[in-house]
Amino acid sequence: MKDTEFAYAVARVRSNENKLLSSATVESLINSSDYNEALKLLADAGYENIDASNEDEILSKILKQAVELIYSSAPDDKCLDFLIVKNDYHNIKALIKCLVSDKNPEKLLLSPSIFDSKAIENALKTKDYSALPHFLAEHVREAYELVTKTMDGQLLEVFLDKKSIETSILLAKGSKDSFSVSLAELMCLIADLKIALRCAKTVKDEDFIMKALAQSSMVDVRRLCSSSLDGADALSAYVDTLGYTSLSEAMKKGYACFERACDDLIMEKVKDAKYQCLGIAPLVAYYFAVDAEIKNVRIVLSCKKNGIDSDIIRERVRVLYA
Amino acid sequence: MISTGLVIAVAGAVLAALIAGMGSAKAVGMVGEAAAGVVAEDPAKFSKVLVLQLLPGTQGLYGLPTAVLALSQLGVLGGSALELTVAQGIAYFAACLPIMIVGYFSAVAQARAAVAGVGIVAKNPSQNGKAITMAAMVETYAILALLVSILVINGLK
Repeated sequence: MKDTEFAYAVARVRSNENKLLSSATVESLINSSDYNEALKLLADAGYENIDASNEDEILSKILKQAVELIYSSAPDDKCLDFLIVKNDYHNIKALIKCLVSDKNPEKLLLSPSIFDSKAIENALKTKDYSALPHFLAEHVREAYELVTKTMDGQLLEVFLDKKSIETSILLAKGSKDSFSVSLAELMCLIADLKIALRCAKTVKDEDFIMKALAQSSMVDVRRLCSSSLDGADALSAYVDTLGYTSLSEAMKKGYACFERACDDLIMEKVKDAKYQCLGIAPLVAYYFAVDAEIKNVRIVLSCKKNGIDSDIIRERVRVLYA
Repeated sequence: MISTGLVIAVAGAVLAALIAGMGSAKAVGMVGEAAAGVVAEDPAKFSKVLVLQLLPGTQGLYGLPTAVLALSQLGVLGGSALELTVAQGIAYFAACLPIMIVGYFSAVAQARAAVAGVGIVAKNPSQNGKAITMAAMVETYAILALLVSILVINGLK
């Protein structure tokens, strides 16, 4: 797809970038005296009618609106599917778990998603997967068989998380856009590093780690697995050899710090899109910009609720796009 | 009897208007898409983005006087077309080449600069003067090409 086809979409995104919270506003939020003052500042910054009762609902709505904006303005919405396919795989997990435990999945489903969750639910109930796209049908069928055979929720999570990452890369490659492919591969690397770190901390065996890690072009999965088996320090040393010093340093400080470093690394990659006037990159960057903003607002509000010190909040907030 | 030279000369004049016009149409369309994106979010910026959309339209306009001047000199407009040798025909065709080629490519290049300018207006409308200036810089080369085409056509009288 030609970059000039994104002229309309990029212009709409640029107009909406003005509504993003600035670093100064986030700093004011961090310095606010309490939760209520933080809510007032947010309301002044454009988060209309936000209060303690609807905080979560409003934040979810803002991210959903951002996705709707980029989808509605992009010349071909399929080129953005790699960003939100993770929501579909989350929905599959929720639907299978609820089906097995005979619960209502409605409140657990995420939107926006690419595939209709009703269609997935019907396929699971009738065991007729023909209404789903071929690759998804295979994944849903395999996931359902896995959980009914083993009744192991963790195996289901591991299987679907891996498929989600691999599908994201496939969809990015389908768009034939080099920026999307490199970003999907970076997201895959980060997902693998998170898995490896979690496995190192919870002392998982080789079989489990290999099942969980997605094939990445940016890392030798076998070496990552053996580093994870050797513990968090060995893993950190291996990540350093890959050239991701910030991630390696963050790994030593703890999981929360590592999560932040991962988000910041993605932001660093998409930030270049600020200077591109055409192409898909500004749309993708806008998605991550809103995502980072929502994460920051959640962090600040939750810390303010619990009376956490401003300096600690400052350590936790993500780098902003604006 | 229409001479081969005249056919070549008329082809040059027509292509000058055609190709430069195609470039401008493509360029104005591209900037128009970007402008529509901004206006969809903030209709008050319509006048600012309209100026940027108009900028790459000039190349198409430059093709027109070149074609009219050539056709007029060839007597096609007056109904008494000249008989030209092949060499004379090629000379007219060559005279039309600058605005034909530079017109097309400068329109497309200017459109990209104008689209970037639309982004500036979207984020910071007070800087629209700078956005216009940057896009207008590309115009220089279209003007030079127009000048060369007209000077050569005049010289072939």
